[in-house]
Amino acid sequence: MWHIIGMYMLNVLGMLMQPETKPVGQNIYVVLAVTLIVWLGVFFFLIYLDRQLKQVKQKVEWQEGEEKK
Amino acid sequence: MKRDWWKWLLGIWMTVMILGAFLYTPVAKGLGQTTRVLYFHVPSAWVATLSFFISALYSIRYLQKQNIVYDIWAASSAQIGFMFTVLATVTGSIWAKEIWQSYWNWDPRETSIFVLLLIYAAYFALRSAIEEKNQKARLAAVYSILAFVTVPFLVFVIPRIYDSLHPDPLINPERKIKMDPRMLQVFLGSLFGFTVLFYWILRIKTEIEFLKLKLSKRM
Repeated sequence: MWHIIGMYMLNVLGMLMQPETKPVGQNIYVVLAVTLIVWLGVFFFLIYLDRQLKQVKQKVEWQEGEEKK
Repeated sequence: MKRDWWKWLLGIWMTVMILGAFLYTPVAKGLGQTTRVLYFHVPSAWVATLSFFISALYSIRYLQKQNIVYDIWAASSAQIGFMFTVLATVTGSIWAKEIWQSYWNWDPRETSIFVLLLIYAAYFALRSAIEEKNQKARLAAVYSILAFVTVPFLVFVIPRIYDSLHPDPLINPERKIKMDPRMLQVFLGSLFGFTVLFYWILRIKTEIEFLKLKLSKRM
């Protein structure tokens, strides 16, 4: 009888010591990260372009003003 | 405002696609929730390929006409393509960590996109290394055409020759689209939205470059 209890205890101990396994592909945060990276990437690129466009437009306007003088 | 209607429509369209990706589509067997990555990662890669193709087309046009305007279109398109390639690489790497337990393991798909990034990084290095405008445009045009020759091999051929853990591409060897109809609807919708987004960014980028050209001519 003791050896059965001993085996059972070992089994339970073994199960407890197993690393926790998560089902693969169920992490919705991965999808969230991917979506955010794509959108933030596009968004910041548009912000960068918008700043560039403003700067160049200002320069063109300044130059046109200088030419009129 | 009236001329910008399509930009607002694109905003609504992409919102619907994001909602569709999370609420409407089922998940694929073996991929779980990460299936939804498909609707953002693949269109990024598609836009990158399209941008490099357009860059090569304008490069050919430049060599034919020797008009600097075509060089501006080619360089702008390549820049956008590079940005979308980086996005596709980063998002793919995050997905790989969840599915393959590693951010990077030199899978044929990962290796080929890395080589593609290096090839186009060299394109920008080449452009910044030459001062004289016409020489820069001519050499960059030749390089862009040569660089695009590698794209079909790196994107479509190499990942199919070697064993890859990457999920089946849409156009597989059996020439059948193995995708749930709802998934296909959102996927194609997302591809369309990303393509229009690319066109929008390209227009802004080229407008900046044309203004810069106008400035430099006056100086």
